[in-house]
Amino acid sequence: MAGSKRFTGNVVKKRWGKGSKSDHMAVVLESGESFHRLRRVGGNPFFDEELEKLVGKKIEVKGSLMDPYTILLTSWQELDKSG
Amino acid sequence: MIQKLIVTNVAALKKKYGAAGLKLIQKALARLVAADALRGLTTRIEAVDNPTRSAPKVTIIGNQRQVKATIDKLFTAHGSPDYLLILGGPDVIPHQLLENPLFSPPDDIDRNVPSDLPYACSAPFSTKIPDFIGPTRVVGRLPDVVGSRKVADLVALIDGATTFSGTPGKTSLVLSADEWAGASRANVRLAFGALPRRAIEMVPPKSPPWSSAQLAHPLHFINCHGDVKTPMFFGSSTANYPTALEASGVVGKVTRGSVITAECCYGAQLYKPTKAKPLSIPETYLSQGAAGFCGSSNIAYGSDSASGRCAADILCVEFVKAVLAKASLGRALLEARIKFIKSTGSVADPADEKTLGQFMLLGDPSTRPFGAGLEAPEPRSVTRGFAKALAAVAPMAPADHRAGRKALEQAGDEIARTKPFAERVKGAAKSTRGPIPGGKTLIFRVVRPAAAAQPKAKTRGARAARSSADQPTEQIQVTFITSADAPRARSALRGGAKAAAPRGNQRRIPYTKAVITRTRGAEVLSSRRIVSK
Repeated sequence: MAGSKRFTGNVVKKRWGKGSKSDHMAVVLESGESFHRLRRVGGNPFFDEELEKLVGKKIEVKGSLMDPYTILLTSWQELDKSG
Repeated sequence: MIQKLIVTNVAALKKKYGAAGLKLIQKALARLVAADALRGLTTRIEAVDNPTRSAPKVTIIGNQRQVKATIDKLFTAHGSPDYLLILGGPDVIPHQLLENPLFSPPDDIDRNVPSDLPYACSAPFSTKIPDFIGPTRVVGRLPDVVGSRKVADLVALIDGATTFSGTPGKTSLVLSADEWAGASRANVRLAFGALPRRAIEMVPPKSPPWSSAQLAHPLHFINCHGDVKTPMFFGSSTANYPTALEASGVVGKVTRGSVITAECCYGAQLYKPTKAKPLSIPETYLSQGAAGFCGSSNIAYGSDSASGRCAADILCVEFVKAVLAKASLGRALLEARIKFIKSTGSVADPADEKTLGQFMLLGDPSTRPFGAGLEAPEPRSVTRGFAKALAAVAPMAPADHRAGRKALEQAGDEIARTKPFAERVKGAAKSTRGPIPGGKTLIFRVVRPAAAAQPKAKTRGARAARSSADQPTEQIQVTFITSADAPRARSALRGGAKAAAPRGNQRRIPYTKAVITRTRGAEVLSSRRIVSK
């Protein structure tokens, strides 16, 4: 995929687009000050069961930015707790 | 004198489609010009990269400042035509990227608002939405697909505008997220008025696939969730967002001449399709023969209740009402914009500003779904059938048309001169002060333009400089409320609602959203809630 990058961080649930027409609890990759909403190709952008399973885990993802705050995932892997 | 100006960038089209493709586009445009003549419109095509009339040349395709200046010059030089058609997607004629007053990730992640609003205004290039608060021009965009190499798709779009002879009927398909049932019912009642009451497909429990008969209705009104670069809209209930519409689901089922209005976030976003991000919903509709699509370029706002209707609810309803009242698509959007801004009360708040900037028309602005064209001077050769279809509808007298258009221009000018607006106070984004407890609060000052009687000054800077009557203590605060703060916010807002006449229904906040409050010192002048639609 063009523009594919790697990102690492902890997966959390975060309110996204509060007060807007796309307000929802998003699955977000947090790393220090930065945060990115995660989306899966073909997945529901508002509630994706596959991504929900990642909440609470530290992961590395590969994907492209759909906008400055949204990663369209092509792959991901869980990192061990030391990693 | 011309009535319709088509602007495009020939170099950009040639870059996408090659010399042979460009010739096909030029032939298609010649057919459109001939058809417009039958409708009583004298149409002129201008290339912003090689303009006539001493307009400056656009040398960089995506240079918004250059493009705005050139289009403004051409528009004026051609005598302010009735219609301005932007031919091409944003990689041919760029959207103008305006500053989003609500930018505050992750609450509102849009740094900019991709907009065609500035092309509808005579004010010079700016990135501030308040500089374009009083639109006066009738504008639409017939977009080719970003990054496309398939010229046949663009030729088909142009030919669709050429052969348009009316929207066949006023029956509708209405889709709504279930949690916005209240607003959607009110919107449909207001938009479609005395027309037979129609069912709203609430998602959930309803779900696609929609039947061919449903999708064949020529008017679609959609109040659902949308997401960035996603060819789907979504319904919602508690923590559940089922698909409400997929672009692929409308293929082969759209009635020619249909008009679609979508309140959804990203409803009219134009992006380069890929395997992972297929063609957008609006472009799919247009490719299937729809005459026009009114929607938003990014995150939109509205209400979930009938009494709290705001932002997208109002603008979209006014668009449909104008279309049904026989306006052209472009005029319908201009009317909707003006009525929307007039509806916003004493001050256009940041959500109002974003709404005004983000909604656009995709389609030929001179297309009149339910009305006739102007009186044609003399028929020319297109096809006998097409000429017959045009002759079947009573034309509008040019004098009536001009009078109506003049009134709209005056209304836009009046708004530009007089409408108070909100200007964000930098560095106050993380304040938690204010009457509404909650999360992050954005602070705005209210800028009051000079009185209407004073000399016209369209730019925000000029208007602000003359604002001797500014009341520095008057503020607008946008508070994004978190779940934990909802009960306290509800309580505080009840108090505020008693103290001053608020807009909408502030007495019930069913769950966490955002609140916009206008204050002067400790006094709450008005407050309202905007919710996830």
